[in-house]
Parts: sequence; C-alpha cells; structure tokens
Amino acid sequence: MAAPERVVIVGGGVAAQRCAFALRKRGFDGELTMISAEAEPPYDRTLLSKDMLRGARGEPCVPLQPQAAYAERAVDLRLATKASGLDVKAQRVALSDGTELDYDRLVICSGGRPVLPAALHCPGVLLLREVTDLEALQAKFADARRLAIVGGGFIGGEVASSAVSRGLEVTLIEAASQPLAAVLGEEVGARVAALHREKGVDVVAGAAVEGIAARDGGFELTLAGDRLLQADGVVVGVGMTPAVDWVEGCEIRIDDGIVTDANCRTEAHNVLAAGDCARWWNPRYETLMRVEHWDTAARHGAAAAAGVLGYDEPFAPVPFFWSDQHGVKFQSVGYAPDWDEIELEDGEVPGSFVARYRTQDRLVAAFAAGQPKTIARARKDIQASGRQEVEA
Amino acid sequence: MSPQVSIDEDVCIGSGTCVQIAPAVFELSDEGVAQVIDPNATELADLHRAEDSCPVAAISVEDE
Repeated sequence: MAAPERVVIVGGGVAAQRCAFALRKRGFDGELTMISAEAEPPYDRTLLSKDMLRGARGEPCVPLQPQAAYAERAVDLRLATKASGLDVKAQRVALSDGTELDYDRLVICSGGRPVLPAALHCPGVLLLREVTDLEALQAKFADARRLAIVGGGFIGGEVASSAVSRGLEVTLIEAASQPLAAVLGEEVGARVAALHREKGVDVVAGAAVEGIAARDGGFELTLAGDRLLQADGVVVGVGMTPAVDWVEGCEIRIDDGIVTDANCRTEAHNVLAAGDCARWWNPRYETLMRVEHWDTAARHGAAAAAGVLGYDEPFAPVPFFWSDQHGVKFQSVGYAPDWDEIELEDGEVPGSFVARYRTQDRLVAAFAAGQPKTIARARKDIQASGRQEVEA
Repeated sequence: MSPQVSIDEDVCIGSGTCVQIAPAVFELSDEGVAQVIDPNATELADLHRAEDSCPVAAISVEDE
C-alpha cells in the first residue's frame, strides 16, 4: 500500500489532536487537515466540569497546545467546520462550508454527545460536554439557588461538587440504588453518596426522573412515585452517545460506535477511527471496547497515527480515569464489566479508601479515593498480569 | 538529602497540574509530557501536593 500523502482527521478533541501531533512526530510530512466543529482549538475537556466550573481558573478553557503549534507543524486546523458526509469509494469528505476534501487516510475522531432522553426534554435544561455548554452552566450557577442534577455519574458528581462549593442548594438524582452502582458496585456507590451528603448535596437515589416541566420561571421535576421537586436549574448527565450519525449509511460498521480492529482500522478502505466514537478490538481483553475516558482517547489518537502510517502497533490499553469531587480525587484503573468480589480497604486519611475488584482471585480493577500511590501500584500489577497474553 | 522526583512518561497525559503547582520543578515537553527540571526548586510539601494532584498518578516523590 502506498504511503499516504493526504491525511484528514475529523474531530477537535484530544484523540484528534494527539493523532495529528503523533503523525508529525513520526515523520509524516504530507498534507494534514483537522476538521473541528468547535470554535476553539482542542482544549482540556476534563477541566470543564472541574476547575472551570468551580471558577478556579480565569480563562474559558485550557488549550492542549497553543494555536501556533498547529501552524508550526503544518496542521491545517479548520475550526467551526463540520464533516457532513463521507464517500468511502471516492475517499472524500464533505464539509459544512460546502467544500470537499480528498484523503488517502481518514481518521474519524468525532467523539460523542451527551444523551438527553425524551422524558428530560424541556427548554432550558443544561448538558455539559463543550466549552459553549460551560458558559450556559456558569450563568445558571450565578443566578440559581436550587440546582437539580439528573444522573449520579462522574459528570453529575463533579457538577454537584462544583455547585455546592459555589453555595448552591444541590439535589443529585440517580435512578439506580446508589450513584455509580452499575460501574463500581453498591458499596463503593454508597461511599460516594456519603461523601456528597457530607458536603451538603441532597442525594436522591433509586428515583428515575419521569418528566421535567417549566414552572414559575424554574423547573418542576417529576420523580418515580409521583414525587415532585422544584429547581431553578437542571443539569442532565446521564451518559453520552457516539457522534457518528454523519457516517451512517457509508459502508462503515457502526455498533455502539465505529467498529475497528486493534490497529484502529474500520471495515472501509483507508478509514480509521479513535476516541469516544470508536469501538475497537482490545487484544489485552480480547473484546470490542468503547471507553469514554480522556486518558484512553488521548492514547487512542496516537495509536491511530501508527495505524495511518501502517505500523502494526495494536492498541491494548488498561483503561484509566479520574474524577475530582469535593476535593477528593477518585482514580480508577482496570477493566471490570463484572467481578467476583470487591475488597474494600480504608486509608489513613479519613474518607480515603481503595476498592479492589477481583475475578478468579486476579486483580482486574481498582478504584480509590485520595490514594494515588495505591492506584499507581495497582496499575503496575494489572498491566503486568495482562502482559503475557498481549505480547504472545 | 534532596528529594527524588520521577515521572512515569508512559503514564503522563500532560494535564499540566504539576506545572501549575510547582512551575520551578516541572515543565511540559513539546510532546506534552511532564519533565523534572529541578527537584530542589520548591518545598517538599509542594512536591507531595503535585504528586497527589496528578490525575493519572504518574509522579512519585521519595524524600528519604
């Protein structure tokens, strides 16, 4: 296969940025174009629900690289431009500005968008994914007294944490029996809920939201069991969905994300995918995975650069994520869609703990609150235990 | 004895948290990976704060 001369990356998140920079670092000297729907150059999305929302930093967002770094690397960064269509036979992408781009390799890093279930549709309900969402949320923080957050996941938890620190009355509503119970188990979820309550968040668990209506300049939420809740603002964080509608019908396999092999290659010739929008074969776990974590997306972008250049470097990461809530750092390493047992151990600092998830007596994942050293050790153990299979 | 500060470069994601806390000790390389310039440039407490604040637990500080 001929070496590519024109690479197009669709996306403006960390996967796209890392892919572009990794291509240049590895010597790719052809045309390199990045298409981002956002108006800002790629920025640190993880900070939006953390430092930015708390108002801990002055600027609206923290760029991953200064804009000049793109020009220095001859990356044609086209902002506020959407990819609107794809012709895999002609190897051509259609853009929202009416132009088209031919490619030798296309890397799709179009990310995801927050889910808003029909029951939660109501004008004025807020979501958080992009810096433009942050501006609306900050405005709400400034004039609301009572904030309802639907969804007790990491985004919901971080928004709750930021909101109470800004003096708002916060209700965190979770449909499951505990926040995060589905991913971390009941016991760990209960500990997270306890931290929220200790810091003044009213956690309402086991309560699905059945409807939201505008009422008296604010909102009225109907919870399961006909319980009503009033709020001045509502934020929804109930998950995301891959932003792949623009390639539907394009002979690219989509099944909860764009399906790729371990080298980020889709079934379509010369089309690769990485980041939140991609579901790739992870040889470490011998399964298709779609991971919505920053750390994975960043590494995935670099792996896609290797795939573009034809290197056989299977992408086999151990998933990792972190979250900051009420001044406590949560960190998680490993992959545990289920587990045999969870071993909980308290740390020396009050409130700190580690949960170790085991399957057949093997450590498969760890989640810790305020224990970075424990997580660093767990990561080494988990990586070592999977290495033989990966390298075999 | 001066503290030993190390960064696991395979793990670092270049969040820049350590650079914010101790700019005289850490800097980000062109590739967006943190590096130690001078482990003695700040108080030990700040080094531990940087270690604890690293989102991916890539920093280790030994002070014995």
